[in-house]
Amino acid sequence: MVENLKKQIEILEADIAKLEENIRIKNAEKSTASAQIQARIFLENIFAPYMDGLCDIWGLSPEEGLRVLIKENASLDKIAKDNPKALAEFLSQPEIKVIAAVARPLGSMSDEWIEQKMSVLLEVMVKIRPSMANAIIETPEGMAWFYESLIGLRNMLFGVLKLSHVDLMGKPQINIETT
Amino acid sequence: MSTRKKKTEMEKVPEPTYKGSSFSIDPSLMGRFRRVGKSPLEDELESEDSMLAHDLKSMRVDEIVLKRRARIAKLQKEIEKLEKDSDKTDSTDSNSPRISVAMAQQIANLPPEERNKVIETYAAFRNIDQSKGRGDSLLPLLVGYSKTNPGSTQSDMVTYAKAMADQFKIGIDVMKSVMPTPEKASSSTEALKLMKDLIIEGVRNPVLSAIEKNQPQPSAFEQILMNPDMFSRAKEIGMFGGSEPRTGSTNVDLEIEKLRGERELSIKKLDLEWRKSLLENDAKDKRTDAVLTALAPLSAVFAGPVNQRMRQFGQQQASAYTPENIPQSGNTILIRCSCGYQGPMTFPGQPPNIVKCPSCSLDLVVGGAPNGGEPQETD
Repeated sequence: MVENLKKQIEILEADIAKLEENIRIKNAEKSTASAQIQARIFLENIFAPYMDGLCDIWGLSPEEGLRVLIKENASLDKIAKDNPKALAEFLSQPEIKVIAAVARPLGSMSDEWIEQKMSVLLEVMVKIRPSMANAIIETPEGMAWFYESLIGLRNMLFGVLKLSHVDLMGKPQINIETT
Repeated sequence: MSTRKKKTEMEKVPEPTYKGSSFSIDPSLMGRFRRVGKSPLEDELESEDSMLAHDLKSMRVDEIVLKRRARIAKLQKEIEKLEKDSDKTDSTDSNSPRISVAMAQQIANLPPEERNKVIETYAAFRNIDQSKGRGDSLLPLLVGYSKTNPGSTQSDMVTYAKAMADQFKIGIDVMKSVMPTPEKASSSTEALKLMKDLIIEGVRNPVLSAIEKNQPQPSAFEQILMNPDMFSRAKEIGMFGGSEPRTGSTNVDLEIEKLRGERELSIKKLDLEWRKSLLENDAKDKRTDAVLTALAPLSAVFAGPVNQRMRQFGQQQASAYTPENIPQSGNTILIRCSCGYQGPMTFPGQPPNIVKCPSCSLDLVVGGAPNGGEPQETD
């Protein structure tokens, strides 16, 4: 009786281990696919237009603008801090509110998670905007700048931007924390 | 007139006819016992009952064994007694004639005259040789002589018997001189006794001892049952279960139930933990999937507006932050195509008059009107 039970438990343990492995592989595949989709959405709708807007005014190509920002160690959140009014106006836009609300889980992701996803972002960027990817990869301190900028964007869009009050006009008061 | 009533005929009782029989068997004996509603405690009690029943059976078997052994001992005593009696009979009735049944039949088959002659001659010789014991051995010879010599006189028979007795005596003397002399001259009774002893010692006693060895030895339980002191002591300490209710057993049952409950709970806990981890994984996937499924259509719906807002935001930021080292190229133009593309395009020298839209490859005229699909020069 006891031996029979032991055998059954061993079989169950083996099945559970197999299931765990399958789930892990499935999750890894899913996470890879989802990360690539997220990266594409982020790059196409957030990062590239932002860089295009910056470089429109500066009269530079995005690649040149990236190299300038990398050289001056001016991450995206650092630039935003210099113009809080424009940031508040930007966050009050309905489209941005919707996107920020839907993508709010991304705001709780850790710095390590962003560091891991940075490689995925660069992989996708090489495919859809190779010149920008080359500027980040080839310029010294380019990867560090990109990492800082991503964390800054997370803080700016989701995490540490606390909307303490939304007035009747729909414009939130914002507190920018630099942690 | 006689008032005698007419005798009424007896009503015939119908003979019972066999119409078959039916019987029902307890379903539990047929293996169809329903266990619905049985608690583990009941199972435990049932198992204990079965153990007690088993003990009772073993006690009954022991009792039967004890009875059989007592009966064997009694029979052995009776056998010994009978043997003693037979020994006494042998020793006391040594004078009685020992005539076998076959010999008696042969004597009876003789004609009456011959029979009388044989008997008288045998009696005479037995009286003469009573102390020597040879009269018995002469009887077959006398019967044989009477059969072969019918009508002979009794004196002839006596002469023949005497001659045969003398020859028998001579033969015995010769045998005595040839054979080694035994310590004691053994009579036929002694020989028979010797044979009996040999059979008793060589055959019966080993058989009896083997039977005794094969009998089960009294177990500790039997010893307790057979010894009144030990039995009362065992009863006092509750070896056979007391008359009081099953308090000890109930406590054990409760302990067993407690352990069983703990085990079931721990198994359930493990199962729940496993399910929880699975659900957590599923939830993680679902959360990511939800974000993706929401972001994908949203990005499609809001792709244009969000893109535009981000570009505007970038332009606003650029106006607030001016880099120190902007490379002065002077040959960058802003492309605004009817396909929706809008972006700068840099040339090493002067820009050409017509450029292709990077998005739709439409030919655009540098310095043309934006709404008409023509490029607008920025510098």
